[in-house]
Amino acid sequence: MDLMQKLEILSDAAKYDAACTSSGVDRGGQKGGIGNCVKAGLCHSFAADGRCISLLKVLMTNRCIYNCKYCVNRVTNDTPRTAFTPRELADLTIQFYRRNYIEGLFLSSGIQRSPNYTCEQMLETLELLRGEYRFGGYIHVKAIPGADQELIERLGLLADRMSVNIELPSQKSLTLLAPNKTKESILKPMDFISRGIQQGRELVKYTGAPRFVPAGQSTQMIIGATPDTDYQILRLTQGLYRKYGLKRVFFSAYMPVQEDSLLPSLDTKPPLLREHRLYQADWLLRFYGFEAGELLDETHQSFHPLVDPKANWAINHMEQFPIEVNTAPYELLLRVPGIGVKSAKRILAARRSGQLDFAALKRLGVVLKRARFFLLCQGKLMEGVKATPEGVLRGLISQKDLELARLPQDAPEQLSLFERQPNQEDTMQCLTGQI
Amino acid sequence: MLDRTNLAYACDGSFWGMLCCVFDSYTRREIPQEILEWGEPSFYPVHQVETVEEHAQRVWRSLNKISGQIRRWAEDIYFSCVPQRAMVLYRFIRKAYQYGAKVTSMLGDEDVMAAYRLSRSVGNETHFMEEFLRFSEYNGILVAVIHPKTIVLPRIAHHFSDRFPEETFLIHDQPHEMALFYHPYQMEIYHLSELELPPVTSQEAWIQSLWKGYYTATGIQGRLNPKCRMTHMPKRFWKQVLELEQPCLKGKGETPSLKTPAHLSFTDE
Repeated sequence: MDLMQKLEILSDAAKYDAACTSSGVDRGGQKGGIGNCVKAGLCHSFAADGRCISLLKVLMTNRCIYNCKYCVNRVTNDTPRTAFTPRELADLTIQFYRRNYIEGLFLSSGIQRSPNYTCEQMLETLELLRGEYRFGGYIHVKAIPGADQELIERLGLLADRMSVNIELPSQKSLTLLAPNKTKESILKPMDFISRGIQQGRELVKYTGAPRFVPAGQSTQMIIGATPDTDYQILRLTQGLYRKYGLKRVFFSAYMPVQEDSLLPSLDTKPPLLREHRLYQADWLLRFYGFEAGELLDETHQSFHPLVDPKANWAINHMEQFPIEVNTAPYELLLRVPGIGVKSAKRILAARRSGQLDFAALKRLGVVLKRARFFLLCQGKLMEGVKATPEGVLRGLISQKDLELARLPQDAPEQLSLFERQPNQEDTMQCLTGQI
Repeated sequence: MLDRTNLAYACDGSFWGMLCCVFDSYTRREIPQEILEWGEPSFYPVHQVETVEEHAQRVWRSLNKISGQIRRWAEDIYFSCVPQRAMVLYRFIRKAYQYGAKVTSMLGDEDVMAAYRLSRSVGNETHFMEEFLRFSEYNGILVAVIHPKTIVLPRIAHHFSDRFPEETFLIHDQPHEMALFYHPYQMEIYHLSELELPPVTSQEAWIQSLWKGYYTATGIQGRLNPKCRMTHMPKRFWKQVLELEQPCLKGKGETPSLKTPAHLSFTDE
């Protein structure tokens, strides 16, 4: 099989892995080598689905001994199988990298023969890259559950980021859909990696010693293949951040690729809105100081389809608003819908050198469309703003949200003389309580 | 100092020339209403500012003394290439003298905000170039042609020379007629109006087709979202990134089914 076909098969099989970030490590170039890393990461292209292409994301092989029901590469699936040799893959990475196509390599794999054999193949590729080519770019590698700890440790010393995919958010779903995997078999390597990272930080080492997984570890969950609720997923996410110190948890809306009685049918649309809401909540956990319990609880198990999680929280806590821009602490500014980390930091910097009014906020680039309902400047609300509950809700629902959450009956259809279907305006009125 | 003197300055349009306007304004104790390039018409009486390197150096040193960030902003304003940049630079420098290093955080101020906007636009353009620049190999030399809105070469130079220390590469900024040439451990930016390139070799075309194949294979059909892609990668870069030279919204089927020629592989390079 020629390289073009191999590349197509093995990247096609790897594309459902959401993670494609190249962030978390800052490393200068080396004389005699090739490649460096920038802390914030760098995207080099964007695929037709709008996701960034930062790394060459491929599988070592799509041969697999497991039979996970949601996976394209499961052993019972009839697809062409192939594998890269370590040399081929290392060459391909370098050739792409020096043309500035990619930021590095994302290497995952099906389980060929045994976890250890697979792990050794990946290790050989990484050793070629780091050793022979003195490649200093980014490498993200999947830890193979079930492989020896010694192998995982060697992988971790060569890679920048490692990840173990949880895939399904509960043990029940795992036993149902991935009979060869258990919660323990997934959490064990995750725990091993997080302890390795911790040790590496604590030990005082001489400079230049190879660091274990310097960019941290991440994981991924499939959304919508199982009946787990948003609340359960978000709680699990928060737990993972706290217990294992993960850098990122990725969510992947389930794309039906298999026909199976246990899975959603093939014509199911991927739950993109749900995935979007989970990412919004994930950001709130990581950068905005929110707790999972504040966003959802036992009685509200899923996110609001029309209002984003932060706005939803604000509407339910109107007693805490409005707040004074010139004195409010950073943590509270961050909780205002429409104000993000950038705006909050700019406000903090700008108010040091003078009182701010709404015109100054606009000059700073703070978007007031949503924030105006929650802010006071020098004791006054923005001119013309009335903070009635309906007005606020109306102001917080964006056209985009409406489109995303559009009910099926809102889809364009031929005019009919009978039975008028409720349109977007009706939905909105129904929500805001106006008739 | 006089507050309003109905006066315009005219400089030669170079960075040094713009700094000389600042120098003249302080020595002559006047504030110009606008700063033009030589030969541009104005309703005000025009003072011709001579570019004297010693004067420019004095202003330059004084900026360096306040803070490195102010120096960087001043350069960025020049790199931004917008028509009114000389006046923005002049007003920003006045504010910098008045308030010192903290001026860069006074974003509520109109003059500072104008400077910040230009500086940010250069920063954004630099970032786009680091993302979407594509090299092609000609005879062992990597060549890229870019079309940025602002001058970016001095800003991206370090990124690429640090990344590819052992490569020889040339980046040609077509609209600004500049080129960056790097040969291991030597770098130079010079004027280059036109660059003629030979057709790519079959080896190079093969690697490019591998990349295009990868690009199409990695997009998920069920999540097609052209608008999202356009937000992240504006259309003006599409002619620069070779995977989108011919827009391929569809996934498979449009992939050029290029078979690897028997003699081509990485090893016999």
